[in-house]
Amino acid sequence: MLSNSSPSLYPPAVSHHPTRLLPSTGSPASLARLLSLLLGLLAGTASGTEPVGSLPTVTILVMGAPEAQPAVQALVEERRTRLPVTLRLAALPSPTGETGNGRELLGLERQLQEARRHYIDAEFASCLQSLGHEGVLPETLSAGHRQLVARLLLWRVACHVGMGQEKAAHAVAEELGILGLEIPADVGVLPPEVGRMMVRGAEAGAARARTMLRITSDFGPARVSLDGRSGVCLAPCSLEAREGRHVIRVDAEGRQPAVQIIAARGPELEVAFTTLPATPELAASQWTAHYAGSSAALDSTGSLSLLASALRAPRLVLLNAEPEQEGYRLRGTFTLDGRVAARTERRTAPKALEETVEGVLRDLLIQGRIVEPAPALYQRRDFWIAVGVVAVVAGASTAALLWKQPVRTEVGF
Amino acid sequence: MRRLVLGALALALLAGCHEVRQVRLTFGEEGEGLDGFLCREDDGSYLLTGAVPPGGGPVPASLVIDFVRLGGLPGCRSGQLIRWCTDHDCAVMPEHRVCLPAPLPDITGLPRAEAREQIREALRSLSGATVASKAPEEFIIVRITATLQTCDALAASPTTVEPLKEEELVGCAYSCPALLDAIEGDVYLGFDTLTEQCAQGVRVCASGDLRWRP
Repeated sequence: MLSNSSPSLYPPAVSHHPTRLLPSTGSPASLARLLSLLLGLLAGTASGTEPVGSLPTVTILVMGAPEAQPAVQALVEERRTRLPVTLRLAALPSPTGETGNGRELLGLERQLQEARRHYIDAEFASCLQSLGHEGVLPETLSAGHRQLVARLLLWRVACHVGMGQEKAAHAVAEELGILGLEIPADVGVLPPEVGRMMVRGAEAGAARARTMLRITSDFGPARVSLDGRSGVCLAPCSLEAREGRHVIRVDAEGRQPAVQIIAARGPELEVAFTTLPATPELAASQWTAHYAGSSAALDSTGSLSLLASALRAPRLVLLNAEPEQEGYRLRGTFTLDGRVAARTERRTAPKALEETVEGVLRDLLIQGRIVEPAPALYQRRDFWIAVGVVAVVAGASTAALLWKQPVRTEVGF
Repeated sequence: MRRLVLGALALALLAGCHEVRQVRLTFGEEGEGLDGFLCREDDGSYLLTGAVPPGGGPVPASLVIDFVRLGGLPGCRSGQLIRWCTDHDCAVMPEHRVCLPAPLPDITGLPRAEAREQIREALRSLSGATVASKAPEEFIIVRITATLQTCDALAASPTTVEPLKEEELVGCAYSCPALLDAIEGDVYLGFDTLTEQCAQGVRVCASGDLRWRP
């Protein structure tokens, strides 16, 4: 397997025990507070919050109408929400631009030019050395640069021929046929014996027997690349390859690419891949490549999973505000640990946007079991305390109204 | 804690507190309820005349005030009361008997109006005297009997009510049936008779069970 950067896992797992939407308020300090609580309960409002420290953090990503941004921003930054969570506003991942791939290509081109210079100077050993170590070939193939690999093989063949190593030159040329590469145009600037060696070797390689490769991956769907030809199938799948050395790579969303160099031999070969979770940076680049251009697929499962990873957000809410004739249509999707856990949709007038955003959040967090729904009125302890107090007050008032002072009558002249 | 204690104390005080009402016994503005003290014997002399000491002077009488339990609410007229008590347990309440010494004037030979005035004047001394600090909580009649028996003699047996001696009786008056705790105004005492020859009526009035005596 080629070198892969060490995987960056999600932030430490957080417990997903639901937080009660209406936390207990403790014992009431006064009758007035109790009565106000009762009124609050009867009005169906939820009040009170848990200590901030124990609240789960929920990341919010807002898309769509730019006018919707301030409402959410106010909700988050001014802590106006009564939901027992800590909200964090996030921005979409931006394209990373230069990937380093271009630099690698330039480096290889420089190596080829160096080899060519040594070849012209008849420094064949240095020519071979300039073309780099054995690992360069599979790395370049896995990156999909088949033409570059063909040129590397050509110059190796030329160097070996210059050194009089016919056998080695043939073996290298044979790889061209095994990998199914075309003879590059550079062959025109080389002596004819090099060209002949290339043709003979490629023919020998192409004539090799075929092996059936059975490719599987622990994470699907995974695109399979064979010898730099990308997307030849989706694992699990089977491929035919000529006997010899091959480079197979699998790519899956949210996972790091995995590469194996195999030696195909015999009628069948099992090739199993184990992938690692993508780093946030890789997830961001995958999201940018696959979803950034299409607003329709933004709230798809794959997009949300990548976003959650890219934003390091185990609890992610994607809010999409679409402008309508008389307000907005708010679509919310809640992703928990990279999986879509809840979806909801509401329409709202511009004035009630902030309130509706909170409603959407509440729906999502309840469906996603991050917060518990407020218990029914009769299930609340405070309600029964309030009822008890009211009953006592009513009883005392009735008794006071109905109570008659005992009468004692004195009789005299 | 302190508030609780104070609250409980206030509640207890409130519960233990009684409204005190005053009910006054009266023989009427003109003494019109004193007919029972002006009864004459068959020979035409006042009942009081026979009790005048040999040397003259006020009659050494005692006023016995009784609450008579009726067990219900009969009519006020003497006939109605007597009929009621034939089939109800009408009885004097021993715990409420009160005796007050009340010397009565010698009214021998005085016209009835003058005799009434003198007796009224003599009984004025009772004004302010308390008969009961707590009236019974049931229908009763208040009866005042004037007797020559002394209060000391009557107090000899406080738990039982000795019948008053008929030969010692010199006057009687009674109220209509009333619930004293609910009554508004004064309680009027009188004597229901259409004739001055009412010594027999005094005996019926003074009897313990208000039974008719022919």
